[in-house]
Amino acid sequence: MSGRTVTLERLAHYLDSGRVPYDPAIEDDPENASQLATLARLRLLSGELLADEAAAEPEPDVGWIAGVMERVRQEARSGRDIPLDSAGPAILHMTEGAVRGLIREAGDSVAGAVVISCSLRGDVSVPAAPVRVEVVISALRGQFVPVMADDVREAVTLALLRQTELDVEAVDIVVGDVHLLDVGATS
Amino acid sequence: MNDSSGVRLRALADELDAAVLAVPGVLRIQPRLDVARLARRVADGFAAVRQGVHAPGSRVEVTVGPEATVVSLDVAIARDHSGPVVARAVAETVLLRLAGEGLPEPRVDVRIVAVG
Repeated sequence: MSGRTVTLERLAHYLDSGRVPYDPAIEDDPENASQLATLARLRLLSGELLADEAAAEPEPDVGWIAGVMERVRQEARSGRDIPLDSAGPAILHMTEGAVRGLIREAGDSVAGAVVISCSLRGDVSVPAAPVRVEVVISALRGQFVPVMADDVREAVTLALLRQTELDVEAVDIVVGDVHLLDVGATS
Repeated sequence: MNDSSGVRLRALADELDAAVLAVPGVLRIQPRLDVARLARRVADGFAAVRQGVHAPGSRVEVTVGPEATVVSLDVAIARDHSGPVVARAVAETVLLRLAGEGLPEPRVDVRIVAVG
Protein backbone atom coordinates (compact mmCIF):
# COMPACT_ATOMS: atom_id res chain seq x y z
CA MET A 1 0.00 0.00 0.00
CA SER A 2 1.23 3.48 -0.79
CA GLY A 3 0.31 4.90 2.62
CA ARG A 4 -1.42 7.80 0.88
CA THR A 5 -4.68 6.07 0.10
CA VAL A 6 -7.67 8.38 -0.31
CA THR A 7 -11.32 7.45 0.04
CA LEU A 8 -13.63 6.56 -2.79
CA GLU A 9 -15.79 9.56 -1.87
CA ARG A 10 -12.84 11.90 -2.25
CA LEU A 11 -12.05 10.37 -5.64
CA ALA A 12 -15.67 10.87 -6.69
CA HIS A 13 -15.66 14.51 -5.58
CA TYR A 14 -12.38 15.11 -7.37
CA LEU A 15 -13.84 13.66 -10.53
CA ASP A 16 -16.94 15.83 -10.09
CA SER A 17 -14.71 18.90 -9.90
CA GLY A 18 -13.17 18.10 -13.27
CA ARG A 19 -9.87 17.12 -11.57
CA VAL A 20 -9.29 20.79 -10.75
CA PRO A 21 -7.31 21.91 -8.82
CA TYR A 22 -4.70 19.25 -9.48
CA ASP A 23 -4.44 16.92 -6.49
CA PRO A 24 -1.00 15.30 -6.32
CA ALA A 25 -2.14 12.94 -3.56
CA ILE A 26 -4.44 11.38 -6.13
CA GLU A 27 -2.76 11.97 -9.47
CA ASP A 28 0.81 11.12 -8.41
CA ASP A 29 -0.03 7.96 -6.51
CA PRO A 30 -0.34 4.76 -8.59
CA GLU A 31 -3.10 3.25 -6.43
CA ASN A 32 -5.20 6.39 -6.30
CA ALA A 33 -4.62 7.26 -9.96
CA SER A 34 -5.71 3.77 -11.02
CA GLN A 35 -8.85 4.01 -8.97
CA LEU A 36 -9.60 7.43 -10.39
CA ALA A 37 -9.17 6.17 -13.95
CA THR A 38 -11.42 3.19 -13.30
CA LEU A 39 -14.08 5.33 -11.66
CA ALA A 40 -14.04 7.68 -14.64
CA ARG A 41 -14.44 4.76 -17.06
CA LEU A 42 -17.24 3.24 -15.01
CA ARG A 43 -19.09 6.53 -14.93
CA LEU A 44 -18.79 6.84 -18.67
CA LEU A 45 -20.20 3.35 -19.08
CA SER A 46 -22.96 4.11 -16.61
CA GLY A 47 -23.99 7.16 -18.58
CA GLU A 48 -24.18 5.12 -21.75
CA LEU A 49 -26.32 2.48 -20.08
CA LEU A 50 -28.69 4.94 -18.48
CA ALA A 51 -29.27 6.46 -21.89
CA ASP A 52 -30.70 3.11 -22.86
CA GLU A 53 -34.18 2.83 -21.36
CA ALA A 54 -34.14 -0.96 -21.53
CA ALA A 55 -31.09 -1.03 -19.32
CA ALA A 56 -32.58 1.08 -16.57
CA GLU A 57 -35.17 -1.36 -15.24
CA PRO A 58 -33.58 -3.95 -12.92
CA GLU A 59 -32.17 -2.91 -9.54
CA PRO A 60 -28.45 -2.03 -9.65
CA ASP A 61 -26.07 -3.71 -7.21
CA VAL A 62 -24.63 -0.81 -5.20
CA GLY A 63 -21.95 -2.95 -3.54
CA TRP A 64 -20.62 -4.17 -6.84
CA ILE A 65 -18.82 -0.94 -7.70
CA ALA A 66 -17.17 -0.83 -4.29
CA GLY A 67 -15.91 -4.36 -4.86
CA VAL A 68 -14.45 -3.45 -8.24
CA MET A 69 -12.75 -0.38 -6.79
CA GLU A 70 -11.22 -2.39 -3.97
CA ARG A 71 -9.79 -4.82 -6.51
CA VAL A 72 -8.34 -1.89 -8.44
CA ARG A 73 -6.67 -0.64 -5.27
CA GLN A 74 -5.20 -4.05 -4.51
CA GLU A 75 -3.96 -4.61 -8.03
CA ALA A 76 -2.42 -1.14 -8.35
CA ARG A 77 0.06 -1.94 -5.62
CA SER A 78 3.54 -2.26 -7.01
CA GLY A 79 3.89 -6.03 -6.73
CA ARG A 80 6.81 -7.69 -8.44
CA ASP A 81 9.33 -5.84 -10.57
CA ILE A 82 9.19 -7.03 -14.17
CA PRO A 83 12.50 -6.63 -16.00
CA LEU A 84 12.81 -4.94 -19.36
CA ASP A 85 15.65 -5.79 -21.69
CA SER A 86 18.61 -3.72 -20.56
CA ALA A 87 22.36 -3.89 -20.58
CA GLY A 88 25.41 -2.09 -19.32
CA PRO A 89 24.84 0.64 -16.79
CA ALA A 90 21.03 0.71 -17.13
CA ILE A 91 18.53 -1.36 -15.18
CA LEU A 92 15.01 -1.05 -16.58
CA HIS A 93 11.83 -2.56 -15.23
CA MET A 94 8.15 -1.96 -14.67
CA THR A 95 5.99 -2.84 -11.74
CA GLU A 96 3.40 -5.57 -11.81
CA GLY A 97 0.91 -2.94 -10.68
CA ALA A 98 1.61 -0.88 -13.80
CA VAL A 99 1.04 -3.94 -16.00
CA ARG A 100 -2.22 -4.77 -14.24
CA GLY A 101 -3.30 -1.17 -14.73
CA LEU A 102 -2.78 -1.29 -18.46
CA ILE A 103 -4.57 -4.66 -18.69
CA ARG A 104 -7.51 -3.16 -16.85
CA GLU A 105 -7.56 -0.09 -19.05
CA ALA A 106 -7.36 -2.18 -22.22
CA GLY A 107 -10.19 -4.44 -21.08
CA ASP A 108 -12.38 -1.57 -19.95
CA SER A 109 -11.93 0.07 -23.35
CA VAL A 110 -14.08 -2.65 -24.94
CA ALA A 111 -17.73 -1.61 -25.13
CA GLY A 112 -19.80 -3.27 -22.42
CA ALA A 113 -16.89 -4.88 -20.58
CA VAL A 114 -15.71 -4.06 -17.08
CA VAL A 115 -12.56 -5.73 -15.78
CA ILE A 116 -13.18 -7.19 -12.35
CA SER A 117 -9.70 -8.55 -11.75
CA CYS A 118 -6.57 -9.60 -13.56
CA SER A 119 -3.61 -11.74 -12.67
CA LEU A 120 -0.24 -12.65 -14.12
CA ARG A 121 0.68 -16.30 -13.74
CA GLY A 122 4.30 -17.24 -14.13
CA ASP A 123 7.62 -15.94 -12.92
CA VAL A 124 7.43 -12.44 -14.34
CA SER A 125 10.66 -11.50 -12.60
CA VAL A 126 12.60 -13.80 -14.95
CA PRO A 127 13.15 -12.38 -18.47
CA ALA A 128 11.46 -14.39 -21.25
CA ALA A 129 9.66 -16.70 -18.82
CA PRO A 130 6.23 -17.66 -20.21
CA VAL A 131 3.34 -15.84 -18.59
CA ARG A 132 -0.40 -16.52 -18.65
CA VAL A 133 -2.77 -13.66 -18.09
CA GLU A 134 -6.22 -14.18 -16.64
CA VAL A 135 -8.75 -11.40 -16.90
CA VAL A 136 -12.12 -11.69 -15.18
CA ILE A 137 -14.72 -9.39 -16.67
CA SER A 138 -18.27 -8.38 -16.00
CA ALA A 139 -20.34 -8.19 -19.14
CA LEU A 140 -22.81 -5.35 -19.17
CA ARG A 141 -26.23 -6.16 -20.51
CA GLY A 142 -26.84 -5.62 -24.15
CA GLN A 143 -23.53 -6.93 -25.45
CA PHE A 144 -22.97 -10.29 -27.13
CA VAL A 145 -20.66 -11.94 -24.62
CA PRO A 146 -18.51 -14.22 -26.84
CA VAL A 147 -17.60 -11.35 -29.14
CA MET A 148 -16.94 -9.09 -26.17
CA ALA A 149 -14.61 -11.65 -24.62
CA ASP A 150 -12.67 -11.96 -27.88
CA ASP A 151 -12.42 -8.17 -28.13
CA VAL A 152 -11.09 -7.95 -24.56
CA ARG A 153 -8.52 -10.65 -25.29
CA GLU A 154 -7.35 -8.79 -28.38
CA ALA A 155 -7.19 -5.42 -26.62
CA VAL A 156 -5.24 -6.84 -23.68
CA THR A 157 -2.83 -8.73 -25.94
CA LEU A 158 -2.12 -5.63 -28.00
CA ALA A 159 -1.56 -3.51 -24.89
CA LEU A 160 0.87 -6.03 -23.44
CA LEU A 161 2.74 -6.28 -26.73
CA ARG A 162 3.05 -2.52 -26.95
CA GLN A 163 3.88 -1.69 -23.36
CA THR A 164 5.79 -4.69 -22.00
CA GLU A 165 8.31 -7.32 -23.00
CA LEU A 166 6.46 -10.18 -21.37
CA ASP A 167 6.39 -13.53 -23.17
CA VAL A 168 2.62 -13.90 -23.06
CA GLU A 169 1.65 -17.53 -23.56
CA ALA A 170 -2.09 -16.91 -23.37
CA VAL A 171 -4.70 -14.38 -22.33
CA ASP A 172 -7.61 -16.16 -20.69
CA ILE A 173 -10.89 -14.29 -20.37
CA VAL A 174 -13.38 -15.35 -17.71
CA VAL A 175 -16.84 -13.81 -17.78
CA GLY A 176 -17.65 -13.54 -14.09
CA ASP A 177 -21.13 -12.13 -14.39
CA VAL A 178 -23.53 -10.09 -16.47
CA HIS A 179 -24.36 -6.81 -14.86
CA LEU A 180 -26.02 -3.45 -14.81
CA LEU A 181 -24.26 -0.41 -13.48
CA ASP A 182 -25.06 2.71 -11.48
CA VAL A 183 -21.86 4.49 -10.59
CA GLY A 184 -23.75 7.52 -9.32
CA ALA A 185 -24.25 5.59 -6.09
CA THR A 186 -20.58 6.10 -5.20
CA SER A 187 -20.57 9.89 -5.22
CA MET B 1 27.51 14.74 3.36
CA ASN B 2 28.96 18.22 3.41
CA ASP B 3 26.91 21.22 2.34
CA SER B 4 28.59 21.82 -1.00
CA SER B 5 28.29 18.25 -2.23
CA GLY B 6 24.67 18.11 -1.07
CA VAL B 7 23.80 21.30 -2.91
CA ARG B 8 25.60 20.11 -6.02
CA LEU B 9 23.82 16.78 -6.00
CA ARG B 10 20.47 18.43 -5.41
CA ALA B 11 21.07 20.71 -8.38
CA LEU B 12 22.05 17.70 -10.49
CA ALA B 13 18.93 15.83 -9.39
CA ASP B 14 16.78 18.81 -10.37
CA GLU B 15 18.47 19.01 -13.77
CA LEU B 16 17.90 15.30 -14.34
CA ASP B 17 14.28 15.72 -13.28
CA ALA B 18 13.75 18.39 -15.94
CA ALA B 19 15.63 16.41 -18.60
CA VAL B 20 13.59 13.25 -17.94
CA LEU B 21 10.29 15.14 -18.02
CA ALA B 22 11.26 16.38 -21.49
CA VAL B 23 11.56 12.81 -22.83
CA PRO B 24 8.56 12.10 -25.08
CA GLY B 25 6.14 9.73 -23.39
CA VAL B 26 7.08 10.58 -19.80
CA LEU B 27 3.98 11.79 -17.99
CA ARG B 28 5.52 12.38 -14.59
CA ILE B 29 8.23 11.32 -12.18
CA GLN B 30 7.07 9.86 -8.91
CA PRO B 31 9.04 9.78 -5.70
CA ARG B 32 10.25 6.31 -4.87
CA LEU B 33 9.12 5.30 -1.42
CA ASP B 34 11.87 4.94 1.16
CA VAL B 35 11.06 1.28 1.83
CA ALA B 36 11.17 0.58 -1.89
CA ARG B 37 14.51 2.34 -2.19
CA LEU B 38 15.98 0.28 0.60
CA ALA B 39 14.61 -2.96 -0.83
CA ARG B 40 16.03 -2.17 -4.25
CA ARG B 41 19.46 -1.44 -2.88
CA VAL B 42 19.46 -4.69 -0.98
CA ALA B 43 18.13 -6.65 -3.94
CA ASP B 44 20.48 -5.17 -6.48
CA GLY B 45 23.55 -5.14 -4.31
CA PHE B 46 24.45 -1.54 -4.83
CA ALA B 47 27.29 -1.95 -2.38
CA ALA B 48 29.38 0.47 -4.35
CA VAL B 49 27.22 3.38 -3.22
CA ARG B 50 26.56 2.24 0.31
CA GLN B 51 28.80 4.88 1.79
CA GLY B 52 27.88 7.50 -0.76
CA VAL B 53 26.32 10.94 -0.59
CA HIS B 54 22.71 11.37 -1.53
CA ALA B 55 20.64 14.24 -2.91
CA PRO B 56 17.70 14.56 -0.52
CA GLY B 57 14.19 15.77 -1.27
CA SER B 58 14.17 15.06 -4.98
CA ARG B 59 11.99 12.79 -7.10
CA VAL B 60 15.17 11.65 -8.81
CA GLU B 61 17.49 9.88 -6.42
CA VAL B 62 21.18 10.52 -7.02
CA THR B 63 23.68 8.68 -4.86
CA VAL B 64 27.41 9.05 -5.35
CA GLY B 65 29.72 6.47 -3.84
CA PRO B 66 33.41 5.75 -4.18
CA GLU B 67 32.90 3.36 -7.10
CA ALA B 68 29.63 4.36 -8.72
CA THR B 69 27.01 7.03 -9.17
CA VAL B 70 23.49 5.60 -9.14
CA VAL B 71 20.43 7.48 -10.39
CA SER B 72 17.09 5.88 -9.52
CA LEU B 73 13.67 7.08 -10.58
CA ASP B 74 10.08 5.94 -11.02
CA VAL B 75 8.15 7.21 -14.04
CA ALA B 76 4.61 7.15 -15.35
CA ILE B 77 4.36 6.63 -19.11
CA ALA B 78 1.78 7.91 -21.55
CA ARG B 79 -0.39 5.13 -22.93
CA ASP B 80 0.25 6.11 -26.53
CA HIS B 81 3.97 5.44 -26.17
CA SER B 82 5.84 2.17 -25.82
CA GLY B 83 6.91 1.72 -22.21
CA PRO B 84 10.21 -0.07 -22.96
CA VAL B 85 11.15 2.50 -25.60
CA VAL B 86 10.47 5.38 -23.24
CA ALA B 87 12.36 3.70 -20.39
CA ARG B 88 15.41 3.30 -22.63
CA ALA B 89 15.18 6.92 -23.73
CA VAL B 90 15.04 8.01 -20.09
CA ALA B 91 18.12 5.92 -19.25
CA GLU B 92 20.03 7.33 -22.22
CA THR B 93 19.07 10.86 -21.25
CA VAL B 94 20.30 10.37 -17.70
CA LEU B 95 23.55 8.70 -18.72
CA LEU B 96 24.24 11.37 -21.31
CA ARG B 97 23.68 14.09 -18.72
CA LEU B 98 25.97 12.37 -16.22
CA ALA B 99 28.75 11.81 -18.74
CA GLY B 100 30.16 15.27 -18.35
CA GLU B 101 30.04 15.43 -14.57
CA GLY B 102 33.26 13.60 -13.79
CA LEU B 103 31.47 11.42 -11.26
CA PRO B 104 32.27 7.75 -10.51
CA GLU B 105 30.85 5.17 -12.95
CA PRO B 106 27.27 6.19 -13.75
CA ARG B 107 24.42 3.69 -13.44
CA VAL B 108 20.71 4.29 -13.85
CA ASP B 109 17.69 2.43 -12.52
CA VAL B 110 14.42 3.31 -14.30
CA ARG B 111 11.15 1.80 -13.19
CA ILE B 112 7.77 2.28 -14.87
CA VAL B 113 5.14 2.48 -12.15
CA ALA B 114 2.12 3.52 -14.19
CA VAL B 115 0.83 3.73 -17.75
CA GLY B 116 -1.91 6.25 -18.20
